[in-house]
Amino acid sequence: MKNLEEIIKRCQKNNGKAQKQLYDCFSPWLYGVCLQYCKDKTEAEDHLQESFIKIFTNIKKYRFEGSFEGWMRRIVVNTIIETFRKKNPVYFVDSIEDIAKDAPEISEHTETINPKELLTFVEELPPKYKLVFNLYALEGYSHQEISDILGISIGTSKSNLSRARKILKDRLSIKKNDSIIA
Amino acid sequence: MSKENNIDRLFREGLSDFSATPPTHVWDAINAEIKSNRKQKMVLLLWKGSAAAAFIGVIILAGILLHTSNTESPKYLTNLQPDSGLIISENENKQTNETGATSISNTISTNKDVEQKESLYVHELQNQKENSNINKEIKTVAFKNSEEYTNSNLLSAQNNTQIKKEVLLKAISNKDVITHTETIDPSTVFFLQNSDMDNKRMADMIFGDSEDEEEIKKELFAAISVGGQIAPSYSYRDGNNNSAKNESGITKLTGGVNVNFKTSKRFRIETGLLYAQVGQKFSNSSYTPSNSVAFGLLEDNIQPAPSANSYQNSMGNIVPKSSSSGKMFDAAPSTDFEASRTISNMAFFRNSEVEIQQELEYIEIPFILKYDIINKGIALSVNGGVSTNVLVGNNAYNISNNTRNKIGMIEGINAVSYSASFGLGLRTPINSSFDFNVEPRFKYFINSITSSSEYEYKPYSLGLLIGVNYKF
Repeated sequence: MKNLEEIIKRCQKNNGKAQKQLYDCFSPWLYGVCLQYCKDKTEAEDHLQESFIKIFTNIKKYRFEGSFEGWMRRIVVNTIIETFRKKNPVYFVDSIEDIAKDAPEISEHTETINPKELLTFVEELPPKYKLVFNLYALEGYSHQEISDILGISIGTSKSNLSRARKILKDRLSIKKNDSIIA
Repeated sequence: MSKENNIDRLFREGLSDFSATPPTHVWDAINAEIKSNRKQKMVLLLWKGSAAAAFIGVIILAGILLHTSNTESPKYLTNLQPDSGLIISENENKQTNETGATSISNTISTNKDVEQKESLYVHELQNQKENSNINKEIKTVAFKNSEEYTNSNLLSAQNNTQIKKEVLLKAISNKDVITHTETIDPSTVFFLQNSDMDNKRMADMIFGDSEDEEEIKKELFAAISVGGQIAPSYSYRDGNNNSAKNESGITKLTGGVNVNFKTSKRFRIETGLLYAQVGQKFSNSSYTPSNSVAFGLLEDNIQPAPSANSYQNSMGNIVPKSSSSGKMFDAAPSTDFEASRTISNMAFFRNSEVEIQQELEYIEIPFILKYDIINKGIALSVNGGVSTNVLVGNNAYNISNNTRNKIGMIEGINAVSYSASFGLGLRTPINSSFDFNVEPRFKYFINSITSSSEYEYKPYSLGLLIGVNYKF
């Protein structure tokens, strides 16, 4: 964005107009991120609201080093993680033995799928699987990082990821079959 | 992730640009929250600023009070006199005792622990010495109540050297003790008293419509502004001359033009031209000659009329303005002093509430640095700097019966003096071109304004500068 730096600088001075411009520009994308992590729109809206308040409060700390979009996305994801940990202090309990048998190796699902459908598949994941899958597959965190962030073991992280993949594979398979039948 | 999972890639690529428009109420909630946070932050800053200003104010007032208590003569009487203006000298004690005239030589402690007698007879005063916690000696005594002490008594006493000993002198109390009282001008009350202003209104001004915000900021940080200021200013002095008695500060107007240069976002430099008056006044009981006798009560004790050098005070000798005049009371009938040895003219002085007021007029060229603590619509700043003060007026006035007569000038005042000042400033835009300023400011002369080695006189003043500045 051409004027993004200027908008950020004005936001750093608590300029209300610039804050609105920033929100209008990035709220749809960040709302989409929230929807990927949340069970419904209401929860996503709450996270979006809280995230933007944090963005505006902390934007003075942004030093124009690295991607601003990445900086905002990290705030959104961290907000979601923080809420998740508060609500589910002991949630990840799957055993590590599940990893081997649940680890999927899927190569056939390469066709383009509507993002809304993908979102629906993700939204339907159990929260514990969804969070680990999003952090690993979408955010690019390693199991070690997920382990540290969520306070779970690496094995549990791997297990949850494997379970998530399996569920998603099943959903994609069903969709493919439906498409063939249709 | 060397072996990237197809499902991972599918979802990452598919959802990377996914977006959805959030409902409008989300922004409303965010906007309300951040505005609330900003208001809280501003209120907190204002409170901090107010606390800092209050602290400075307390320090200044404490300094003045401490200074006053240190420099003023102790709380015992140096002069006691009837309202009629009669001055009775201690030196007259023996004489007046012998002649039967009323004479007072007594010591009265002004210690609050000492119980004051509601009424005293003159002949009992000697006994009071034994009963009171005596700290200091009173050379002369002034009594407020002179109802029973008539001029006829005095005249009679003077003529016959007989004054009835049974003169009832009432109400010698702390109220009657002539002590220096220093009144703080209302202008010294810091604007902080207004800190309980409507926060909502202030916040509305600070956080107005976002469209106006940029405009206000541009105006606020204009590079140069020119304006005028006027201030009621209370001035007094700092000095070490112990001869000062019954002196008090005066309240005068200060005003002028200023130019402000914005050097950075928060710093400004102010200069300009200000007309300022400093000075003091002292009452008749204090300008008695150094031998403590002003006008002879008794014929035998009549002293020469006060000379130019007899008006002792802490600022400097008062001398006639014109050398050809040679008299202090130029404006008064020339016969006054000639006749001052007469009873009638003594009565004139006795019955007049004579005060001497010394006024120095300066053109002040300030160099003041201002720093904005807050600069969002309303700006709160602290400032400090030095000023060059060029003497343009030097006068002493006799204030008697609400009339003001020039009697001379103060000797030995430097043509140029230097002062330091510091204070606070509140600046708010009136419209796109004008700012309104309120600045409580404390000014202190760095060096003594007199060249005489006998005097060390450093005036200080407290003023509330109020003005308007035009922004270019």
